[in-house]
Amino acid sequence: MKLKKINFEELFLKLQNKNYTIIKLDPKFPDYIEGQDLDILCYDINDISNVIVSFLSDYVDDNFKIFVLKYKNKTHVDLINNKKIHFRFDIIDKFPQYKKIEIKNSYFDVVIENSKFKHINNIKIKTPDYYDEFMLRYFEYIEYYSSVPDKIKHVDYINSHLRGDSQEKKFFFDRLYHFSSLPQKYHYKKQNINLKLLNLIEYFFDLIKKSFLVIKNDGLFVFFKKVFNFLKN
Amino acid sequence: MVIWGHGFIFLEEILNELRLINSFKIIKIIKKTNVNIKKLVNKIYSYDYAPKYHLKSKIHYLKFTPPQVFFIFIKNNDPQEDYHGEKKFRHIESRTMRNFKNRIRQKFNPRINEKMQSNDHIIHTTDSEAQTEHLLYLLGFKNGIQSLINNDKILPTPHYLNEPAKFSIQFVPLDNIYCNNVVLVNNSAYIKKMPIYDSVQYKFFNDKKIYEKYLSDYRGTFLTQDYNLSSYSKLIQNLNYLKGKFQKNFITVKTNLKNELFILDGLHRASILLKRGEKKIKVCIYET
Repeated sequence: MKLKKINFEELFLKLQNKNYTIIKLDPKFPDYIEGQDLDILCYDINDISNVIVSFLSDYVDDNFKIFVLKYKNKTHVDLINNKKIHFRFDIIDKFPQYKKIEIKNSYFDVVIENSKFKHINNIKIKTPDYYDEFMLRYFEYIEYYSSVPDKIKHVDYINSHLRGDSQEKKFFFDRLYHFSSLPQKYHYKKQNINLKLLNLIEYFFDLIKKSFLVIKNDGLFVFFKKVFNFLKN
Repeated sequence: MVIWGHGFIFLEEILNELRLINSFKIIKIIKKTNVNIKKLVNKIYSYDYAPKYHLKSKIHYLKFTPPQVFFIFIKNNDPQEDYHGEKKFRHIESRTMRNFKNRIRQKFNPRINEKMQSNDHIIHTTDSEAQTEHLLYLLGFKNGIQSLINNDKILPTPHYLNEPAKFSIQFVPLDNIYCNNVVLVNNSAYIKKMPIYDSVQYKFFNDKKIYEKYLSDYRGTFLTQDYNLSSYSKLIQNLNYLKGKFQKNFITVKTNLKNELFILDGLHRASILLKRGEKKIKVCIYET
Protein backbone atom coordinates (compact mmCIF):
# COMPACT_ATOMS: atom_id res chain seq x y z
CA MET A 1 0.00 0.00 0.00
CA LYS A 2 1.34 3.42 -0.95
CA LEU A 3 1.84 5.60 2.14
CA LYS A 4 -0.32 8.70 2.25
CA LYS A 5 1.53 12.00 2.27
CA ILE A 6 0.01 15.28 3.37
CA ASN A 7 -0.47 17.75 0.55
CA PHE A 8 0.91 20.87 2.26
CA GLU A 9 0.45 23.00 -0.83
CA GLU A 10 -3.29 22.60 -0.57
CA LEU A 11 -3.30 23.11 3.19
CA PHE A 12 -1.31 26.34 3.16
CA LEU A 13 -3.46 27.69 0.37
CA LYS A 14 -6.40 27.37 2.78
CA LEU A 15 -4.37 29.10 5.50
CA GLN A 16 -3.00 31.93 3.38
CA ASN A 17 -5.31 34.63 4.75
CA LYS A 18 -4.97 33.57 8.37
CA ASN A 19 -2.69 35.06 11.00
CA TYR A 20 -0.11 32.40 11.71
CA THR A 21 3.57 31.65 11.44
CA ILE A 22 5.45 28.37 11.28
CA ILE A 23 8.45 28.21 13.56
CA LYS A 24 11.47 25.91 13.52
CA LEU A 25 10.54 24.69 10.07
CA ASP A 26 12.39 21.53 9.14
CA PRO A 27 14.91 22.21 6.33
CA LYS A 28 13.54 19.22 4.43
CA PHE A 29 9.96 20.51 4.47
CA PRO A 30 7.60 19.55 2.73
CA ASP A 31 9.30 16.14 2.99
CA TYR A 32 8.73 14.57 6.35
CA ILE A 33 9.08 11.34 8.20
CA GLU A 34 6.31 9.65 10.17
CA GLY A 35 5.85 11.18 13.62
CA GLN A 36 7.22 14.59 12.63
CA ASP A 37 5.48 17.80 13.68
CA LEU A 38 4.94 21.39 12.60
CA ASP A 39 4.88 24.22 15.16
CA ILE A 40 2.35 26.92 14.42
CA LEU A 41 2.00 30.21 16.28
CA CYS A 42 -1.30 31.98 15.78
CA TYR A 43 -3.81 34.35 17.36
CA ASP A 44 -6.83 32.08 17.11
CA ILE A 45 -6.16 28.40 17.82
CA ASN A 46 -9.74 27.32 17.07
CA ASP A 47 -9.76 29.01 13.70
CA ILE A 48 -6.45 27.51 12.58
CA SER A 49 -7.32 24.09 14.01
CA ASN A 50 -10.66 24.21 12.22
CA VAL A 51 -8.95 24.66 8.84
CA ILE A 52 -6.43 21.89 9.57
CA VAL A 53 -9.01 19.41 10.88
CA SER A 54 -11.36 19.90 7.95
CA PHE A 55 -8.45 19.65 5.52
CA LEU A 56 -7.16 16.45 7.14
CA SER A 57 -10.62 14.92 7.22
CA ASP A 58 -10.12 14.02 3.55
CA TYR A 59 -7.37 11.66 4.70
CA VAL A 60 -9.61 9.82 7.18
CA ASP A 61 -10.38 6.25 6.19
CA ASP A 62 -10.16 2.76 7.70
CA ASN A 63 -6.52 3.30 8.65
CA PHE A 64 -6.25 7.02 9.25
CA LYS A 65 -8.00 9.12 11.87
CA ILE A 66 -7.57 12.59 13.32
CA PHE A 67 -7.06 13.10 17.00
CA VAL A 68 -7.41 16.53 18.60
CA LEU A 69 -6.13 17.34 22.05
CA LYS A 70 -6.77 20.79 23.50
CA TYR A 71 -4.63 22.27 26.26
CA LYS A 72 -4.56 25.79 27.62
CA ASN A 73 -3.05 27.95 24.85
CA LYS A 74 -2.08 24.87 22.84
CA THR A 75 -3.80 22.31 20.62
CA HIS A 76 -2.42 19.18 19.02
CA VAL A 77 -4.01 18.02 15.80
CA ASP A 78 -2.62 14.59 14.98
CA LEU A 79 -3.12 12.54 11.88
CA ILE A 80 -2.95 8.98 13.19
CA ASN A 81 -2.06 5.98 11.08
CA ASN A 82 -2.83 2.68 12.79
CA LYS A 83 -2.37 4.07 16.30
CA LYS A 84 0.90 5.86 15.45
CA ILE A 85 1.25 9.58 14.87
CA HIS A 86 1.69 10.11 11.16
CA PHE A 87 2.00 13.89 11.49
CA ARG A 88 1.34 16.38 14.30
CA PHE A 89 0.30 20.03 14.09
CA ASP A 90 1.32 21.77 17.30
CA ILE A 91 -0.68 25.00 17.43
CA ILE A 92 -0.13 27.63 20.14
CA ASP A 93 -1.50 31.11 20.83
CA LYS A 94 0.97 32.02 23.58
CA PHE A 95 4.58 31.19 24.36
CA PRO A 96 4.91 28.54 27.01
CA GLN A 97 5.86 29.72 30.48
CA TYR A 98 9.64 29.41 30.21
CA LYS A 99 11.52 29.01 33.48
CA LYS A 100 15.00 29.93 32.34
CA ILE A 101 14.22 32.95 30.27
CA GLU A 102 11.63 35.71 30.47
CA ILE A 103 10.01 36.86 27.26
CA LYS A 104 7.93 39.99 26.90
CA ASN A 105 4.29 39.14 26.19
CA SER A 106 4.22 41.45 23.20
CA TYR A 107 6.89 39.41 21.46
CA PHE A 108 4.39 36.73 20.44
CA ASP A 109 2.40 39.27 18.40
CA VAL A 110 5.63 40.72 16.99
CA VAL A 111 6.64 37.32 15.62
CA ILE A 112 3.29 36.83 13.91
CA GLU A 113 3.05 40.37 12.56
CA ASN A 114 6.62 40.31 11.21
CA SER A 115 6.30 36.91 9.58
CA LYS A 116 7.02 36.67 5.88
CA PHE A 117 5.84 34.42 3.11
CA LYS A 118 8.43 31.86 2.15
CA HIS A 119 8.14 29.93 -1.10
CA ILE A 120 9.13 26.29 -0.86
CA ASN A 121 8.44 24.38 -4.06
CA ASN A 122 4.92 25.58 -4.81
CA ILE A 123 4.04 26.14 -1.17
CA LYS A 124 3.53 29.65 0.18
CA ILE A 125 4.11 29.47 3.88
CA LYS A 126 4.37 32.15 6.58
CA THR A 127 7.56 31.89 8.60
CA PRO A 128 9.12 34.26 11.16
CA ASP A 129 11.33 37.10 10.16
CA TYR A 130 15.06 36.26 9.80
CA TYR A 131 15.97 37.46 13.33
CA ASP A 132 12.86 36.08 15.02
CA GLU A 133 13.74 32.62 13.80
CA PHE A 134 17.08 32.92 15.64
CA MET A 135 15.41 34.29 18.75
CA LEU A 136 12.91 31.44 18.92
CA ARG A 137 15.65 28.87 18.46
CA TYR A 138 17.69 30.58 21.15
CA PHE A 139 14.77 30.45 23.65
CA GLU A 140 14.32 26.76 22.91
CA TYR A 141 18.02 26.12 23.51
CA ILE A 142 18.16 28.08 26.79
CA GLU A 143 15.04 26.44 28.19
CA TYR A 144 15.65 22.82 27.28
CA TYR A 145 19.40 22.34 26.82
CA SER A 146 19.93 20.95 30.33
CA SER A 147 17.38 18.18 29.78
CA VAL A 148 17.69 17.76 26.00
CA PRO A 149 21.35 18.30 24.98
CA ASP A 150 20.33 17.89 21.36
CA LYS A 151 19.01 21.46 21.54
CA ILE A 152 22.56 22.64 20.93
CA LYS A 153 21.61 22.30 17.26
CA HIS A 154 19.76 25.61 17.60
CA VAL A 155 22.91 27.43 18.68
CA ASP A 156 24.80 25.78 15.83
CA TYR A 157 22.09 26.98 13.48
CA ILE A 158 22.36 30.57 14.78
CA ASN A 159 26.19 30.52 14.67
CA SER A 160 26.22 29.19 11.15
CA HIS A 161 24.12 32.14 10.01
CA LEU A 162 25.55 34.92 12.16
CA ARG A 163 29.31 34.72 11.83
CA GLY A 164 31.94 37.12 13.18
CA ASP A 165 31.19 40.62 14.44
CA SER A 166 28.71 41.37 11.75
CA GLN A 167 26.00 44.02 11.91
CA GLU A 168 23.50 41.17 11.78
CA LYS A 169 24.84 39.71 15.00
CA LYS A 170 24.54 43.07 16.73
CA PHE A 171 20.98 43.44 15.51
CA PHE A 172 20.14 39.95 16.78
CA PHE A 173 21.51 40.66 20.27
CA ASP A 174 19.80 44.06 20.45
CA ARG A 175 16.52 42.39 19.64
CA LEU A 176 17.17 39.55 22.05
CA TYR A 177 17.93 41.96 24.92
CA HIS A 178 14.90 44.03 24.07
CA PHE A 179 12.39 41.21 24.17
CA SER A 180 13.91 38.85 26.71
CA SER A 181 15.87 38.74 29.92
CA LEU A 182 17.24 36.18 32.29
CA PRO A 183 15.07 35.68 35.37
CA GLN A 184 16.20 37.90 38.22
CA LYS A 185 14.90 35.79 41.07
CA TYR A 186 17.00 32.88 42.35
CA HIS A 187 16.32 29.80 40.28
CA TYR A 188 18.13 27.54 42.70
CA LYS A 189 17.78 26.82 46.40
CA LYS A 190 20.40 25.98 49.00
CA GLN A 191 20.86 22.22 48.79
CA ASN A 192 20.05 20.12 51.79
CA ILE A 193 19.66 16.37 52.06
CA ASN A 194 15.91 16.47 51.39
CA LEU A 195 16.29 18.63 48.33
CA LYS A 196 19.09 16.44 47.00
CA LEU A 197 16.92 13.38 47.41
CA LEU A 198 14.01 15.11 45.74
CA ASN A 199 16.21 16.16 42.84
CA LEU A 200 17.46 12.61 42.45
CA ILE A 201 13.92 11.22 42.37
CA GLU A 202 12.90 13.88 39.89
CA TYR A 203 15.92 13.07 37.73
CA PHE A 204 15.14 9.34 37.63
CA PHE A 205 11.47 9.95 37.05
CA ASP A 206 12.38 12.19 34.15
CA LEU A 207 14.70 9.54 32.73
CA ILE A 208 11.97 6.87 32.91
CA LYS A 209 9.50 9.20 31.21
CA LYS A 210 11.94 10.02 28.43
CA SER A 211 12.91 6.36 27.97
CA PHE A 212 9.28 5.40 27.67
CA LEU A 213 8.69 8.06 25.03
CA VAL A 214 11.77 7.05 23.01
CA ILE A 215 10.79 3.36 23.10
CA LYS A 216 7.22 4.21 22.14
CA ASN A 217 8.13 6.53 19.27
CA ASP A 218 11.44 5.12 17.94
CA GLY A 219 11.67 1.58 19.25
CA LEU A 220 14.07 -0.35 21.47
CA PHE A 221 17.03 -0.17 19.09
CA VAL A 222 17.12 3.63 19.07
CA PHE A 223 16.59 3.64 22.82
CA PHE A 224 19.63 1.44 23.50
CA LYS A 225 21.68 3.45 21.03
CA LYS A 226 20.82 6.65 22.93
CA VAL A 227 21.62 5.02 26.27
CA PHE A 228 24.97 3.88 24.90
CA ASN A 229 25.79 7.39 23.62
CA PHE A 230 24.74 8.90 26.92
CA LEU A 231 26.97 6.56 28.93
CA LYS A 232 29.86 7.13 26.53
CA ASN A 233 29.67 10.90 27.02
CA MET B 1 -39.84 36.26 21.91
CA VAL B 2 -42.64 35.11 24.17
CA ILE B 3 -45.81 33.49 22.82
CA TRP B 4 -48.55 33.70 25.43
CA GLY B 5 -51.00 30.88 26.09
CA HIS B 6 -53.78 32.33 23.93
CA GLY B 7 -51.39 32.39 20.97
CA PHE B 8 -50.40 28.72 21.07
CA ILE B 9 -52.78 27.79 18.27
CA PHE B 10 -50.71 29.99 15.94
CA LEU B 11 -47.33 28.57 17.02
CA GLU B 12 -46.63 26.77 13.74
CA GLU B 13 -47.58 29.82 11.71
CA ILE B 14 -45.45 32.13 13.83
CA LEU B 15 -42.47 29.76 13.54
CA ASN B 16 -42.96 29.61 9.77
CA GLU B 17 -43.05 33.40 9.57
CA LEU B 18 -39.80 33.53 11.56
CA ARG B 19 -38.16 30.97 9.28
CA LEU B 20 -39.06 33.05 6.24
CA ILE B 21 -36.87 35.93 7.43
CA ASN B 22 -33.31 35.26 6.30
CA SER B 23 -31.69 37.35 9.00
CA PHE B 24 -33.51 35.47 11.78
CA LYS B 25 -32.29 32.13 13.01
CA ILE B 26 -34.24 30.27 15.67
CA ILE B 27 -31.74 29.15 18.29
CA LYS B 28 -33.87 27.69 21.03
CA ILE B 29 -37.51 26.94 21.77
CA ILE B 30 -38.61 26.45 25.37
CA LYS B 31 -42.10 25.60 26.51
CA LYS B 32 -43.23 26.25 30.08
CA THR B 33 -46.50 24.93 31.39
CA ASN B 34 -48.33 25.50 34.67
CA VAL B 35 -46.62 28.83 35.11
CA ASN B 36 -47.74 31.57 37.43
CA ILE B 37 -48.60 34.06 34.70
CA LYS B 38 -48.87 37.05 37.05
CA LYS B 39 -45.44 36.41 38.49
CA LEU B 40 -43.91 35.71 35.09
CA VAL B 41 -45.40 38.81 33.52
CA ASN B 42 -44.10 40.95 36.38
CA LYS B 43 -40.62 39.52 36.00
CA ILE B 44 -40.54 39.86 32.22
CA TYR B 45 -41.81 43.44 32.24
CA SER B 46 -39.59 44.46 35.14
CA TYR B 47 -36.90 44.94 32.57
CA ASP B 48 -39.02 46.94 30.16
CA TYR B 49 -38.14 50.54 29.34
CA ALA B 50 -41.62 51.74 30.33
CA PRO B 51 -42.59 52.15 33.98
CA LYS B 52 -44.76 49.34 35.35
CA TYR B 53 -47.75 51.62 36.09
CA HIS B 54 -47.88 52.45 32.41
CA LEU B 55 -47.84 48.79 31.45
CA LYS B 56 -50.30 47.67 34.10
CA SER B 57 -53.43 48.17 32.03
CA LYS B 58 -51.69 46.94 28.88
CA ILE B 59 -50.78 43.58 30.35
CA HIS B 60 -53.80 43.03 32.57
CA TYR B 61 -55.36 40.62 30.03
CA LEU B 62 -52.40 38.24 30.36
CA LYS B 63 -53.56 37.20 33.81
CA PHE B 64 -56.52 35.51 32.15
CA THR B 65 -54.56 33.61 29.48
CA PRO B 66 -53.76 29.85 29.81
CA PRO B 67 -50.81 29.32 32.17
CA GLN B 68 -48.38 28.23 29.49
CA VAL B 69 -45.76 30.05 27.51
CA PHE B 70 -43.37 29.45 24.62
CA PHE B 71 -40.02 31.24 24.69
CA ILE B 72 -38.33 31.47 21.31
CA PHE B 73 -34.77 32.72 21.16
CA ILE B 74 -33.64 34.09 17.84
CA LYS B 75 -30.33 35.21 16.50
CA ASN B 76 -31.08 38.42 14.65
CA ASN B 77 -28.36 39.10 12.09
CA ASP B 78 -29.89 42.40 11.05
CA PRO B 79 -31.19 43.99 14.27
CA GLN B 80 -31.13 47.64 13.06
CA GLU B 81 -31.08 48.77 16.70
CA ASP B 82 -31.83 52.44 17.19
CA TYR B 83 -33.38 54.83 19.66
CA HIS B 84 -37.13 54.80 19.54
CA GLY B 85 -39.87 56.77 21.33
CA GLU B 86 -39.77 60.10 23.08
CA LYS B 87 -38.78 61.53 26.44
CA LYS B 88 -38.83 58.91 29.19
CA PHE B 89 -40.08 56.27 26.75
CA ARG B 90 -37.01 56.70 24.56
CA HIS B 91 -35.25 53.35 24.39
CA ILE B 92 -33.06 51.17 22.18
CA GLU B 93 -35.10 48.84 20.04
CA SER B 94 -34.48 46.51 17.12
CA ARG B 95 -36.44 47.81 14.18
CA THR B 96 -36.56 44.45 12.40
CA MET B 97 -37.94 42.71 15.49
CA ARG B 98 -40.48 45.49 16.09
CA ASN B 99 -41.71 45.18 12.51
CA PHE B 100 -42.00 41.43 12.89
CA LYS B 101 -43.85 41.72 16.20
CA ASN B 102 -46.33 44.24 14.80
CA ARG B 103 -46.98 42.08 11.76
CA ILE B 104 -47.66 39.00 13.88
CA ARG B 105 -49.89 40.94 16.23
CA GLN B 106 -51.86 42.37 13.34
CA LYS B 107 -52.29 38.93 11.85
CA PHE B 108 -53.06 36.83 14.91
CA ASN B 109 -54.18 39.01 17.81
CA PRO B 110 -57.77 38.25 18.87
CA ARG B 111 -60.35 40.39 17.07
CA ILE B 112 -62.91 42.60 18.75
CA ASN B 113 -64.94 42.44 15.59
CA GLU B 114 -64.26 41.77 11.92
CA LYS B 115 -62.57 45.10 11.42
CA MET B 116 -60.98 45.74 14.78
CA GLN B 117 -58.11 43.93 16.35
CA SER B 118 -57.74 43.80 20.14
CA ASN B 119 -54.66 44.78 22.09
CA ASP B 120 -54.49 41.38 23.78
CA HIS B 121 -51.17 40.71 22.17
CA ILE B 122 -50.30 37.07 21.58
CA ILE B 123 -46.58 37.75 21.49
CA HIS B 124 -44.09 39.85 23.35
CA THR B 125 -40.61 40.49 22.02
CA THR B 126 -37.58 41.88 23.76
CA ASP B 127 -36.43 45.24 22.43
CA SER B 128 -32.73 44.60 22.69
CA GLU B 129 -30.04 42.08 23.52
CA ALA B 130 -29.90 43.36 27.11
CA GLN B 131 -33.55 42.42 27.65
CA THR B 132 -32.97 39.00 26.10
CA GLU B 133 -30.08 38.49 28.48
CA HIS B 134 -32.43 39.25 31.38
CA LEU B 135 -35.01 36.78 30.04
CA LEU B 136 -32.38 34.06 29.81
CA TYR B 137 -31.33 34.66 33.41
CA LEU B 138 -34.99 34.32 34.35
CA LEU B 139 -35.09 30.90 32.71
CA GLY B 140 -31.99 29.75 34.55
CA PHE B 141 -29.31 30.31 31.91
CA LYS B 142 -26.57 31.57 34.19
CA ASN B 143 -24.36 32.68 31.31
CA GLY B 144 -27.16 34.56 29.55
CA ILE B 145 -26.69 35.03 25.82
CA GLN B 146 -23.27 33.41 26.01
CA SER B 147 -24.95 30.08 26.76
CA LEU B 148 -26.77 30.31 23.41
CA ILE B 149 -23.66 31.28 21.50
CA ASN B 150 -21.03 28.94 22.93
CA ASN B 151 -18.69 29.26 19.95
CA ASP B 152 -15.37 28.60 21.62
CA LYS B 153 -14.95 25.49 19.51
CA ILE B 154 -12.84 24.08 16.73
CA LEU B 155 -15.72 22.47 14.88
CA PRO B 156 -19.20 23.98 14.53
CA THR B 157 -21.83 22.24 16.65
CA PRO B 158 -25.07 23.42 18.26
CA HIS B 159 -24.72 25.75 21.24
CA TYR B 160 -25.79 23.10 23.74
CA LEU B 161 -22.71 20.96 23.04
CA ASN B 162 -19.50 21.85 24.79
CA GLU B 163 -16.49 20.72 22.84
CA PRO B 164 -14.35 18.47 25.04
CA ALA B 165 -10.57 18.68 25.37
CA LYS B 166 -10.22 15.45 23.36
CA PHE B 167 -12.01 14.47 20.21
CA SER B 168 -11.30 12.55 17.06
CA ILE B 169 -12.50 12.23 13.49
CA GLN B 170 -12.99 8.62 12.49
CA PHE B 171 -14.54 6.48 9.80
CA VAL B 172 -17.06 4.26 11.56
CA PRO B 173 -19.75 1.73 10.65
CA LEU B 174 -23.17 3.36 10.66
CA ASP B 175 -24.69 0.34 12.37
CA ASN B 176 -22.50 0.91 15.43
CA ILE B 177 -24.17 4.28 15.95
CA TYR B 178 -27.13 4.65 18.28
CA CYS B 179 -29.41 7.53 19.08
CA ASN B 180 -31.85 8.80 21.65
CA ASN B 181 -35.55 9.34 21.07
CA VAL B 182 -38.31 10.39 23.43
CA VAL B 183 -40.83 7.60 24.05
CA LEU B 184 -44.07 7.64 25.95
CA VAL B 185 -44.70 4.87 28.46
CA ASN B 186 -47.66 4.97 30.85
CA ASN B 187 -48.21 8.61 30.02
CA SER B 188 -44.73 9.64 31.00
CA ALA B 189 -42.12 10.59 28.47
CA TYR B 190 -38.54 9.47 28.77
CA ILE B 191 -35.44 9.22 26.61
CA LYS B 192 -34.65 5.80 25.16
CA LYS B 193 -31.54 4.52 23.41
CA MET B 194 -32.20 2.82 20.06
CA PRO B 195 -30.61 2.03 16.69
CA ILE B 196 -31.01 4.76 14.08
CA TYR B 197 -33.49 2.70 12.04
CA ASP B 198 -35.88 2.66 15.03
CA SER B 199 -35.85 6.43 15.45
CA VAL B 200 -38.69 8.74 14.48
CA GLN B 201 -36.25 10.53 12.19
CA TYR B 202 -35.76 7.29 10.21
CA LYS B 203 -39.41 6.25 10.36
CA PHE B 204 -40.15 9.56 8.61
CA PHE B 205 -39.31 7.85 5.31
CA ASN B 206 -42.37 5.64 5.67
CA ASP B 207 -44.69 7.91 7.59
CA LYS B 208 -44.22 11.66 7.82
CA LYS B 209 -47.05 11.96 10.33
CA ILE B 210 -45.12 10.10 13.05
CA TYR B 211 -42.37 12.68 12.75
CA GLU B 212 -44.83 15.56 12.70
CA LYS B 213 -46.59 14.31 15.82
CA TYR B 214 -43.24 13.78 17.56
CA LEU B 215 -42.29 17.40 16.94
CA SER B 216 -45.65 18.69 18.01
CA ASP B 217 -45.67 16.59 21.23
CA TYR B 218 -42.20 17.47 22.42
CA ARG B 219 -41.43 20.88 20.92
CA GLY B 220 -40.06 23.16 23.59
CA THR B 221 -39.74 20.40 26.17
CA PHE B 222 -37.52 17.54 24.96
CA LEU B 223 -36.92 19.18 21.58
CA THR B 224 -35.61 22.69 21.99
CA GLN B 225 -34.06 23.05 18.54
CA ASP B 226 -36.00 24.30 15.54
CA TYR B 227 -36.80 20.97 13.93
CA ASN B 228 -39.51 21.05 11.30
CA LEU B 229 -40.93 19.00 8.50
CA SER B 230 -40.03 21.36 5.70
CA SER B 231 -36.36 21.68 6.73
CA TYR B 232 -36.05 17.93 7.05
CA SER B 233 -37.64 17.35 3.65
CA LYS B 234 -35.19 19.84 2.10
CA LEU B 235 -32.29 18.17 3.91
CA ILE B 236 -33.31 14.80 2.49
CA GLN B 237 -33.17 16.24 -1.02
CA ASN B 238 -29.98 18.26 -0.62
CA LEU B 239 -27.78 16.59 1.98
CA ASN B 240 -24.21 16.64 0.74
CA TYR B 241 -22.54 15.34 3.87
CA LEU B 242 -19.13 16.96 4.56
CA LYS B 243 -19.04 18.50 1.11
CA GLY B 244 -18.67 22.15 0.07
CA LYS B 245 -19.70 24.61 2.77
CA PHE B 246 -20.71 21.71 5.03
CA GLN B 247 -17.18 20.30 5.04
CA LYS B 248 -16.81 20.94 8.77
CA ASN B 249 -20.29 19.87 9.89
CA PHE B 250 -19.57 16.41 11.21
CA ILE B 251 -22.19 14.23 12.82
CA THR B 252 -21.09 14.38 16.45
CA VAL B 253 -21.15 11.29 18.64
CA LYS B 254 -19.77 10.11 21.94
CA THR B 255 -18.75 6.68 23.16
CA ASN B 256 -20.31 4.83 26.05
CA LEU B 257 -18.79 2.10 28.23
CA LYS B 258 -19.83 -0.61 25.75
CA ASN B 259 -17.88 1.25 23.08
CA GLU B 260 -21.10 2.08 21.26
CA LEU B 261 -21.43 5.45 19.62
CA PHE B 262 -24.27 7.79 20.56
CA ILE B 263 -25.40 10.67 18.41
CA LEU B 264 -25.14 14.07 20.10
CA ASP B 265 -25.84 16.06 16.97
CA GLY B 266 -26.84 14.91 13.49
CA LEU B 267 -29.52 12.25 13.88
CA HIS B 268 -31.43 13.61 10.90
CA ARG B 269 -28.30 13.42 8.71
CA ALA B 270 -27.43 9.96 9.99
CA SER B 271 -30.96 8.73 9.20
CA ILE B 272 -30.70 10.07 5.65
CA LEU B 273 -27.28 8.46 5.13
CA LEU B 274 -28.58 5.15 6.48
CA LYS B 275 -31.57 5.36 4.16
CA ARG B 276 -29.22 6.05 1.25
CA GLY B 277 -27.47 2.79 2.06
CA GLU B 278 -24.20 4.18 3.45
CA LYS B 279 -22.28 1.63 5.48
CA LYS B 280 -19.53 3.76 6.99
CA ILE B 281 -19.33 7.49 7.64
CA LYS B 282 -16.88 10.02 9.04
CA VAL B 283 -17.93 11.32 12.43
CA CYS B 284 -16.54 13.50 15.17
CA ILE B 285 -16.21 11.47 18.35
CA TYR B 286 -16.24 13.32 21.67
CA GLU B 287 -13.97 11.42 24.04
CA THR B 288 -15.23 11.11 27.59
